[in-house]
Amino acid sequence: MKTAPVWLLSFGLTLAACAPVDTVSPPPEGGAPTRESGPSDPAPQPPPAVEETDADTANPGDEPPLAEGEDTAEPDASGTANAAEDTEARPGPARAVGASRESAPPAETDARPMSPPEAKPAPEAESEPVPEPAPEPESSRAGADLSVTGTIALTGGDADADEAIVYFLPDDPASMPPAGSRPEATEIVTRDKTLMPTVAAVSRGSEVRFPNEDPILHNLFSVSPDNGFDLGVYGPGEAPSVTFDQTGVVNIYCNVHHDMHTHVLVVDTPWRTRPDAQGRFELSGLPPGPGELHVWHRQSEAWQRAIELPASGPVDVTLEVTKPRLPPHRDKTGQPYNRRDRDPYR
Amino acid sequence: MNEGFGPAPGLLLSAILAAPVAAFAQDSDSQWQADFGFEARLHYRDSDENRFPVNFPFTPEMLPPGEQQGFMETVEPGGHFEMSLVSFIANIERGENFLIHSRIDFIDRHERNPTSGDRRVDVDQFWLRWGREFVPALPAEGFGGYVKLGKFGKFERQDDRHLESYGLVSTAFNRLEDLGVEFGVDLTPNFYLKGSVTQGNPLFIRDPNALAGDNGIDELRRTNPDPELKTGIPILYDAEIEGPDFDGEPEFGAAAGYRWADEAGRRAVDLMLFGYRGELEETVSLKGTFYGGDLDLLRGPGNQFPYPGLAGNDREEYGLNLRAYIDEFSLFAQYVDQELASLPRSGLEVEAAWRFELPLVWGYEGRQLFSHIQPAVRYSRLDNDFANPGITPFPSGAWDWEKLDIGIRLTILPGLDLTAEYADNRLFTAGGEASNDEWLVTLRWRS
Repeated sequence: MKTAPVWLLSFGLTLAACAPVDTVSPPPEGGAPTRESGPSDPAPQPPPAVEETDADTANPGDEPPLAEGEDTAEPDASGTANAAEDTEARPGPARAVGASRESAPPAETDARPMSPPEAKPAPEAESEPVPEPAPEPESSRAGADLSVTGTIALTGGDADADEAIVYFLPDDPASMPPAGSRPEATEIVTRDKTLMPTVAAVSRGSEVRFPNEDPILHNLFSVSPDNGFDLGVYGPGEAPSVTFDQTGVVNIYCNVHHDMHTHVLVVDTPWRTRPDAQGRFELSGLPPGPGELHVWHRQSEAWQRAIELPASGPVDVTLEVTKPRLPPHRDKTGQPYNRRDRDPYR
Repeated sequence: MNEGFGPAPGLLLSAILAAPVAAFAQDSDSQWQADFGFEARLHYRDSDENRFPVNFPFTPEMLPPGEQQGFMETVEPGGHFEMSLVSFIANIERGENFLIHSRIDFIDRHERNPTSGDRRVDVDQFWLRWGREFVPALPAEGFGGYVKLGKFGKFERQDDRHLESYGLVSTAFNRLEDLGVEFGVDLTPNFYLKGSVTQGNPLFIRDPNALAGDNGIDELRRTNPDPELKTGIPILYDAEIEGPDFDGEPEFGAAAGYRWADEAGRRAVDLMLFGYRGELEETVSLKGTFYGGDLDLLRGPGNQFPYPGLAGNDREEYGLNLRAYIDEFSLFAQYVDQELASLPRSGLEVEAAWRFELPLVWGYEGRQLFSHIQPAVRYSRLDNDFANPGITPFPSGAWDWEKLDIGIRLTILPGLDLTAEYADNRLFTAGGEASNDEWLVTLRWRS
């Protein structure tokens, strides 16, 4: 017994000297953390993995909702700019996945999920912050005004269809507006230890603000590849922002409160929308020609399909719910939330 | 240092020289960081008043005025407000592979070692660690390890406690710090080994409730002493080491464990087998008491009243730890089997705790007021499979014992919490069951 521990000690010392290279570096101030072993974020365009229904026959009588930009991003009849344009015009530094701090202005609603035309409320009636609208595509201004309609159904679990994002990527790069030419500004608000909305889609290069309307500190962060950030702790009334320069899914959590989360889908297209609660969607203002239709939902594998515009009919998509609402995650240092014995606000 | 250490000094020197080089090489981009804090605890304690006669032939002048017999008595019965702890904490680190941790107690009323005559300022912990040590039930990121050198808590000790009181097993076997070197090896993310070469904690006696009790204090040398703090109803326990002492044989410890956790680490389990082997000293001098520790204690006053069956000086201990986490529920269980100079005893301790997040109602300075509430329950038992000497001043040293601690902790602000708990003790004396219960309310402030 007296020799065995010595042997173990020698073994241990040797191993300690060979300890693995640390893969975690402290995140720079306001910058992106470099942890590589955190929760993994899916790429935005994985191969199709769910059931697809081609849909000439599906819900033929349903009136599809409008595209995201169509009901919120356009000036109204009197020519008054709507909230989305107000937000776009709001000054603010645009930094590469960096944080900026400012006091939160009154929460403005600049977008909302899609609704069927017959149920479309006035934009000003919305009180909760919702995803930003997609700006009007260039091709729409040029006169091409094609659309794709369809429905999204979720099976096998508890999930909301209106948390899906439907977007279109044309095969012809010339059909796209210049990259970075149409960044938007979006707000994701913290209130009652909840991030709202829980899903948002933005164009690459867009700035997302995170106003804190709680009376306590929060610390939003993401360890998502390419779009990671750490806002540090910030207090009531503050509204730091992040500019997302890379496409992909950004899982955002609070380092203080485990259950707070939201997802930002960064895409390289202005043609996107969210279904209504029944899963109905319409993407309009699309350019003619071939492209890919994508559906992303935070609780399912991503779906995509090649289509030719004008479309031959509605597209119905069935997604299988395979993920929980709250993705498993650790805090920004890689520690489990339920075993931290320290002030989480630090 | 005697020959019992064998090649250990050389290995220690290797560790001191090699480990930092490796750690620094791996953390070349890391910066030095220093973090300082303090901890204070205020209590309201209400202890039942109990006393148990002892058959030791104290002379009349050794007894309090008017007493004809000696007693083991509750240390300080009744209700009392007290500040039990003021500690200063410092951490100096570079990345995750190098850490110096120190904790200095300026008041430590509940962990006096072992009496109120103990030193006022105590270096409770001071250690250096090279390499990364993962918290229990958190798989390692790969093959690696660490070496820790200094005065530190034992590796089987419960590190995330939910009550202010201690269970019988922790008090008896691993509550207090030892001095030496400890290493850990992560063979895979899930399998690990640990080992230690330490000085070994001296064996002494204390009450398992909040206050240890005053045994062998200078005041007892006076005629008809009547000290303010009484003896308590003591059990045998591993006291804190007094300081570096390389005269005796070292204690060797080893452990092997398996740990698993889900991706978020919120569901996790850690199972560890461990063992220690060392030798009891003829006597160990402890500040604040004229009683000697180790064999001196087991042989009774003047070495005239040893425990029956006392033989040799080997000290062996084997145990099993289980830690489990399921979201906000946590479970800690420990079984220990020990032989002290052929005196066998064993202990079992199980603690379950839940943590509930409260809705946001108020904030203060950006922090949520009353953010969590956490009930906890702990059962512990100590089975002493040896008999008392025919004459002994502390017969409770061989009594079997059960303790049930029930409490609830309210997080007022991060770092500030209030814990209310009740300790229900069942003592299996020669004359039947008895109790020695206690309420404890603790306001703890950590910064």
